[in-house]
Amino acid sequence: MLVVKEAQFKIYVYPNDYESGPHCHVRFNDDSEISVDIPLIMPRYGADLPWEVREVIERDIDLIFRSYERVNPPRIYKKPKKKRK
Amino acid sequence: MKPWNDVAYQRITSAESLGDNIVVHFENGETSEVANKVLIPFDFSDIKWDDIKYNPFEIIVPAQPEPIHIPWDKIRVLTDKEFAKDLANRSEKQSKLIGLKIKRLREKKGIRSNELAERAGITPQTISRIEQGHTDVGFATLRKILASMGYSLSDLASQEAELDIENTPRSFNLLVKRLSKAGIDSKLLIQKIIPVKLQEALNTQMSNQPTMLLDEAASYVSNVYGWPLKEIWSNQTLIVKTNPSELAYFKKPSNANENQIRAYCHYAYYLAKIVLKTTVQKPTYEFPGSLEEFKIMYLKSNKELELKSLIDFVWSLGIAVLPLNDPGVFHGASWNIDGRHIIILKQNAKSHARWIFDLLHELYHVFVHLQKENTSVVELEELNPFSDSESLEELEANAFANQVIFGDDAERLAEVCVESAEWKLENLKQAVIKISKKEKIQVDFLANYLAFRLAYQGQDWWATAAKMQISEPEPFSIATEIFKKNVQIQKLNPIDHNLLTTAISN
Repeated sequence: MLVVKEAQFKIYVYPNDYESGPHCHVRFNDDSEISVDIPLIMPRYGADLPWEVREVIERDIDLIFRSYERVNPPRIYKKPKKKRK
Repeated sequence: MKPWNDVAYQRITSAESLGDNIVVHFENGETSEVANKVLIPFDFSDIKWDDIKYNPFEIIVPAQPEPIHIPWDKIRVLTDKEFAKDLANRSEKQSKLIGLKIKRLREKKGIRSNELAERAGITPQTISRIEQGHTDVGFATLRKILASMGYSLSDLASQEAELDIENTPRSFNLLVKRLSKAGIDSKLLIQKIIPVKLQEALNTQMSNQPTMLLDEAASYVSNVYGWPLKEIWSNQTLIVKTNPSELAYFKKPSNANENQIRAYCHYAYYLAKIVLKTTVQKPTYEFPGSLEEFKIMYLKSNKELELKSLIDFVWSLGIAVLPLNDPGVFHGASWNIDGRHIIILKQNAKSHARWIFDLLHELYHVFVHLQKENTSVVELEELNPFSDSESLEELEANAFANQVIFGDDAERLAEVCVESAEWKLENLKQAVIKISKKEKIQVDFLANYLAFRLAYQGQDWWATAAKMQISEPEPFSIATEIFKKNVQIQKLNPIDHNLLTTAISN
């Protein structure tokens, strides 16, 4: 799902993409990608995060985080009840 | 290097459906096979596995109510244990870091853990678990916690560099980030202050940038802003200190960022000092005492008012003229630095007439208001003959520029044009051309005057006025060519040499 569109890059979040915690995908016009942990804005792998990308994520962090969570709703864990012997 | 940092590990080269599985080929030659049922979110139906498409980043599966997009790392995390383990570690580390940051923010505000829980409407146990990084914290809870301390998510993210600076390896990005917080525009920094070659050298070694190169980059900043390297790399907040004489402006636009103004003024003032250092001291001329005297002096060696002659004339008076072309709130300045004058022109329009107006405006400041040493005028709003400035100096400077261009006839000419156009906007262009010929006034000046006047009345005539401008050769090029003839750049030290040549590059 496209969340932010800038001249040099676009930011996406995906549904059913919660295995490794909240993150977004920054995709550049040159066919490269950096995946970024949110809300702390830490790049996961790929190149270092360019300053202009960081600025945009920081600016739109509410929108990106909310969009991620809308398509990856927080999972609720319940303690399994102990079985009576 | 971990394989997932390589783009070949990430890029998908093909994908196909095989029974209940999807088979994905990656650019590094690896193939992953994953059960298609684990890839599908809830609420999707009518899934057409045989029609899957792909691009280097994702697989797209036709479905209802919309196609399902599956990113490459979803496939990898389900099929590569090492990658999954690495991401799980990162996720755990992020939870801990979020907790640590919340704790630090809470302590910084002197709020007790129980009080924070009460403010945010959650239990103290939850706060404790979050601060210890034992639980993932969702968007709504995180926002509630931060808001109850007066912070936002953006604060939490931007705090990262400050909190971890001492533990984080120095990097060029960190430098840019810190300076950006001090008001130094990142574009100014990378386009004008730090040499491109140095940035390229740093970019080739992204993962482990050599300290020597990073310090060299920081030393450019240190030179302009006066911070020692140690301070630049510390976790102290950097503050641009400006002498009041660098920063006398009449009116600050309401939306202007004070830090950015100070940072840009400091940069421009530093350039001004370099220019005066490298400019041969001209004999001190008496400045013209009146408008008529100015015209006589100018017309002694020039036939008409045109940009090149005017800039040459200003230099001949011992006043340096430095053109700059960065975007932003700063629109020019005049400084008297230790008794010597410099005008900075920063007009984004390529119109000769606009540049001439700005230069005349600044000249008036120099002639009349900057006789005292170490005084200044900084223009934070675009110069406009119909400015509603409350400053008498600004109004006088506008009147001077208009009188040099039109004599006392500006308003009369404007009225004649409007009358000739029969008060119709669509006839105005032809009327301006006709009247400019008849009255022997340059058409671009007259068009600009009318455009400004109409804008003052709420009508936009700029598109037409723009077509009537002289814009070749580019005013910035004219001003830089004259500048280069008048300064001895080669005498400067390498850092100042680089700063000045980059500043005047187009």
